[in-house]
Amino acid sequence: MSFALETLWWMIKLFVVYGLLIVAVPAVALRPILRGKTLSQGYIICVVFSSFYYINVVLVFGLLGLTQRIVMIGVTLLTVAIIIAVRWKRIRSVYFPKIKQGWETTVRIFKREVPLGLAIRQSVKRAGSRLKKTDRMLRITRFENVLEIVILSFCILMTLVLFGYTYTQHYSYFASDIVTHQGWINTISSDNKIFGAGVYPFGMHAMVYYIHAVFDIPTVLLLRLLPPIHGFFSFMVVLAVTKQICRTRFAPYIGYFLYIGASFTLESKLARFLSMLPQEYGLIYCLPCLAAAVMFFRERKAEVAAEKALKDQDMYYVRRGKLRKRRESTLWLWLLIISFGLTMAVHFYVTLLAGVLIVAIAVGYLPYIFRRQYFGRLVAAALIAVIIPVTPMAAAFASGTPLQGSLYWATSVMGIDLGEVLNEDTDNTADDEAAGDRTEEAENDGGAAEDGEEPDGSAAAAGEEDPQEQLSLSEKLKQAVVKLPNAARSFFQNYTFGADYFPYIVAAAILPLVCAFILLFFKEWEYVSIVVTVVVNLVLTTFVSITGQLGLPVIIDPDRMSNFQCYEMPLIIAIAVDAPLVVLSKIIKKVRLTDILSFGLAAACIISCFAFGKVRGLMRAGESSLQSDEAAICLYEIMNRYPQKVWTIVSCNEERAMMDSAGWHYEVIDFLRDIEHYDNDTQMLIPTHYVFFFIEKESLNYAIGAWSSDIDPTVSEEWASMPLPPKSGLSQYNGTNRIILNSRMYYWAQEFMLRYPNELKVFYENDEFVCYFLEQNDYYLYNLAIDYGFNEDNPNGNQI
Amino acid sequence: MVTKSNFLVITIIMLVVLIMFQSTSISEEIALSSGENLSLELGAGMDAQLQMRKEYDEISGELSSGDAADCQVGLVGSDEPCLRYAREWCVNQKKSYCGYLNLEDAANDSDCPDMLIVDSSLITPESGDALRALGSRDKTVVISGLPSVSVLESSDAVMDCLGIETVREDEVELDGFKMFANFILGGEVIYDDYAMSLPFVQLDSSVRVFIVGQSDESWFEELENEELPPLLWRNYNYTGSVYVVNADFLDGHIAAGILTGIASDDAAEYVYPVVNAQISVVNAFPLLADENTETVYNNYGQGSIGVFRDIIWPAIAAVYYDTDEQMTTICSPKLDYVNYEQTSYETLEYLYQEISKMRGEMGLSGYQVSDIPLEEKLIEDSEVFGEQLPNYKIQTFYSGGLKLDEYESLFDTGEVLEDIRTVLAPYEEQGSDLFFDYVGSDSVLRLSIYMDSTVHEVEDDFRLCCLQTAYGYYSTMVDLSKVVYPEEPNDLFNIMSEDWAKYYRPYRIRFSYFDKLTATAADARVRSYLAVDYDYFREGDEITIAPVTDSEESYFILRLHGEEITGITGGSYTELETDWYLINITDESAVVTVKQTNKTEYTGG
Repeated sequence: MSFALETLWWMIKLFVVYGLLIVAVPAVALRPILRGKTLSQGYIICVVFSSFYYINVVLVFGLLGLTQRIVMIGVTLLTVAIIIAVRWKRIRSVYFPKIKQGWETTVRIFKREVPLGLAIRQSVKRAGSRLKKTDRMLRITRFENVLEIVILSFCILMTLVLFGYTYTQHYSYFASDIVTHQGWINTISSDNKIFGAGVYPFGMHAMVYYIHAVFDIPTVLLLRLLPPIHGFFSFMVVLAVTKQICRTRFAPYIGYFLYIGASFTLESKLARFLSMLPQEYGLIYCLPCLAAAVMFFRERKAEVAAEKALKDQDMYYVRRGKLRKRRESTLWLWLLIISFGLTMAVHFYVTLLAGVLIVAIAVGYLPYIFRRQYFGRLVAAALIAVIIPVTPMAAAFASGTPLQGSLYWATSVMGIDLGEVLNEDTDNTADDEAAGDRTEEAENDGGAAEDGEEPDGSAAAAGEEDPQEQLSLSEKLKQAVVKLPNAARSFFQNYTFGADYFPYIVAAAILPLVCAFILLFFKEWEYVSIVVTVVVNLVLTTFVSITGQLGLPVIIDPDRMSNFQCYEMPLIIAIAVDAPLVVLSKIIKKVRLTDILSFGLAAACIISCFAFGKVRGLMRAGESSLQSDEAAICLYEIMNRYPQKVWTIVSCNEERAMMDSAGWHYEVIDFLRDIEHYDNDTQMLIPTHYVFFFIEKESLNYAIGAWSSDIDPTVSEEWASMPLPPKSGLSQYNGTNRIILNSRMYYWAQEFMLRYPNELKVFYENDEFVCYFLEQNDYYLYNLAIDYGFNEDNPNGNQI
Repeated sequence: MVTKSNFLVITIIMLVVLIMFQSTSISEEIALSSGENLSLELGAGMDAQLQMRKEYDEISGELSSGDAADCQVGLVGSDEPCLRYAREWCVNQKKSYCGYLNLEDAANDSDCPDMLIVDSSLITPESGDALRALGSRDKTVVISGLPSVSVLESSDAVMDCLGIETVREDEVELDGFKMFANFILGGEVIYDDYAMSLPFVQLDSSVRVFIVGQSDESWFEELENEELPPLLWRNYNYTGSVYVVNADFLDGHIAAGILTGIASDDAAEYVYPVVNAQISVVNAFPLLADENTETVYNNYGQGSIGVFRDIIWPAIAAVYYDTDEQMTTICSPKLDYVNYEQTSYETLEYLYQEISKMRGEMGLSGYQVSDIPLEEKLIEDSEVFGEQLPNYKIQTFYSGGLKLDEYESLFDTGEVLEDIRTVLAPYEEQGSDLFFDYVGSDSVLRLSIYMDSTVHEVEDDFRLCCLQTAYGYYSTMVDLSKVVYPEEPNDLFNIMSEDWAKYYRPYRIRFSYFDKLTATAADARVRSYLAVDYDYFREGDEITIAPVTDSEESYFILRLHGEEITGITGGSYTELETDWYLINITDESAVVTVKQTNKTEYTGG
């Protein structure tokens, strides 16, 4: 069976499961809250609240050491039961009669009291009338709605195809950190506790674990195939938020298309969405802050106005109770709190981005925030938003769990040196985690260097630090102001577009500001606030990214910030299109016309991109330099086909975390070291019924990619005769060490196969990779220690 | 209102149904009223039997007279028991064989066969070189026992070739052994009551162990699994293999099973012919005389005729119904021909009909408790049948406790045993008789009955596994003469029938995939088995098996390693156990398509 088809099938299943989890089920559970909201608002609420629930179920029970699968399922069922209990009246009065009626009809059909044809005709008729009723309510068949459905479908399809294709071509993880993250997730099930490798924002891990535990989907599958699905829902959040802030119907789609479908931004800006990385995962919770803030201020303003009106009528104390019964502003404030909190629960970098957005909102809504009716609530919200996500981490830290080592790297990039404190705390972190972080850095540098230009990032800035230190602060600021335009231009050119589109960005920022100024005369206060917020957010994110170039302390890695900024780019593009149309609509007072104009612009934009070849191709990740596709295929098949815990994989390193607790893993280096000094007494037993040996006939250049031309990575006696590399972190699997190990294993397998021709079989083989399979007698295991000709101290060994 | 046409249709349908139901019982009545042996149609015709005998003789002759260059097996040693049984195995599996007086001769022979079966007494400290030479030429050497400890300790080369690291004890007492699954048919078995004493050796790496010793002693519990005393193992000897049988398993008929297990382990795919027959015999049933009246009345409250008709027959019918076996009964008109008169012809007539309805057959026995001459006894028995069932042709004869020379002459005289084609004879583990053999000049076939239906000790189970593997043949018998003439307190029918039923379900049902037949039908299968010659070869994933036989069907076992059959042309197949398949070939040849079991099913891209 084609593994690509199998992958596609899994993706469909995962899409359904994830869609149910974060959209469908919360939509049912939160139906009373969602009543009266737009589709975009409802979608954002469902995504944020459901994620908050799933993540916190794992975090709370994880702190108690109760992360067993049965607990997760039990809590889920209990929640469902509570929702049913809360909505029992409606279920009993509305759904039960329908179910009863359906059951009775079915029984009557079986009893032949009602002819089947008649029942079908009636059902079709009833469905038709229900559709008409829905259409009357939602006006789906209205011209603009049809247009929007078409363009939305196009965007959805485009996103799924662009991001989904590469998963049917390559089957391993696309980032080195994933195995590390999987290792942490694995500890939740193996040790029944969170923060197994130290305190770390565990939101993404908790979410993945929840799905793994409740639906029994292997973690490896989730980490590999969830990114395009989660990415899709993240991009839909961008669209939903853009819809929230724009007045015209189709302007958001222009922003969305230029971000996802057009090739103006570098492909690397989206490449990280192909992997399950906490930073990209957490972006889904960032923009809902903006939507929530906009709605909060809107609703709160209405509430204040209503209260004021009542007070003017001296009716305030009479009707106050009714007013307070459920304030819409509170709901949106909670959405703001939870969204911000979730960014902190997933990754601090995303929190930084959300923080910048909050500052931009504060600037945009400056006239409001210090008012009595807003200020107290906002301050309380800020406190709660920090307390909720930090509490589990603080509790774990207080109970003795050390901080996770990668925080050291993250904070060092931000110029904060946790130094010795963390070093002491993280002595117990795994070597590969550090390696994963190093790889993360390497990937960042590599990604920027693809364009052939040196990024002016933190490293460059660090080199300029010494002369800068001689300057006073005011001089520094002066220099920064002078450098600002060039630094910004350089930032956009190097990190975002790969071309000089800076003038367009400036225009996209100035145009809505001009429009906003005009709209002040039309008293469009809210829209002006939104425009200011979006523009200020663009300015601030740019500034934060280039502090290093300005000679100021580096706050965040510019490449990473550039990725984030791109994610928010649809906002500024949409606003730049939307604002002039809003001005136009105010002048000509024809809203429908501006909608049609916005559709025309959207269509023109899409067609132009196709016409001028500026359409983004399929997102393609090359074959992983961490694990070959063949190894991944074998791993998935073994996990899928063989019972748990009865097999062992002997391989380099990637499979160790990927297999989770489904089987056992033996590292090649340990295997070879155990039989290195072979004599008659040497015994090497692997106590499982099945043993698989993964051997790369063409070794990977681990985490690097292609080999230099002077190295032939093919297994050979020459490589096998070289000394066994020492075991130290991952060094034995890096560079030529990996070729030596694979060559040794290859010749061991050849020799073992001579001795056990009917027992050692080829499970999978092509020119680059071979997987051998050994079925053992559990009661009397094979001694895998043999003289394979290259053991040290062996008279026949090391002959080349 | 029923119309006339509908009425007519209903009437016709009812008539058809009536005729359909009645016709089966009517035809059965007609068949039974003829008084004939209905199972004869399952046996081979006389001409075919003679032809198959001829072919068997020819093949047997060819197998032993070939050049070493053409031989498949070399037998190293003189006429030791192990080599005698090995020779019989070669003949039955149609492997050409030749002999060598010692291992060095075989090693020096450039045309040495690929497999050598060596008498262990020939292994000397100097045999190391010969074993190495054979190993380096990819030869498989089977050593019938462990050489003496002194030989081992004086030669590292021999130890190395045999895969022995050290000799831990010169001799240890074992209570039993454990045989791992897949070596032979029957799955993994543990025999904890099979005492033996053996040298205890520690094996090197590169071995695969098939049987290990078991003991209840405390020293034994301290051993790791991989340190258990090995009884049968394979060692990688340069590029060849050495199999060492550290027990007396090759000194009897069970050697056929052990050698089959070794040969099938040694090859990537191994094909050999089998009989595919299981027979279950009841001796001394029916008994037509009231004998030993006092004892029988004491035990059962009625005479032996009544006991056999009213107690035993329903019970054994139930057992046969439950086990789905085909009934072969050995009729004893009398057991004591001196003191008792036969009294019940009606019982014979009644039980003939009942046995025939169950598709069973009746034979005659040479067994008696009296001491009249055999010929006289058989004449008297023939008279009983002649009077009551004159058309019943008896083809099966149970030799009882008689030796071959006591009854063989009667086949040739053409008087009392003229119709007999099959002799059922008790099994002797280390007897000199062949397991299947022709007796007399008239091609009568002798089949061994190697199990007792009411006994199942560990030796029986091991024998069952070995012989089922080697021949696909099973024969069992329950002797009901003990009901009338009990020898032990347990010789009561209720105990016997309980044992009979209870041993079938857990132990013997393991081999239920082989056909259950009457003795006459099994006789035809065995004749065909002995006469068949065959060839097989593999091309890619296709294994072609080409039998040379006049029979319409021939049966083979195909032993694979980590592969499974996905299709077959020219026959059909049944999976016996993992990696073991029974192939029924109905055409001139069969092509079996196989694929590796544990291989990735995913393809990239």
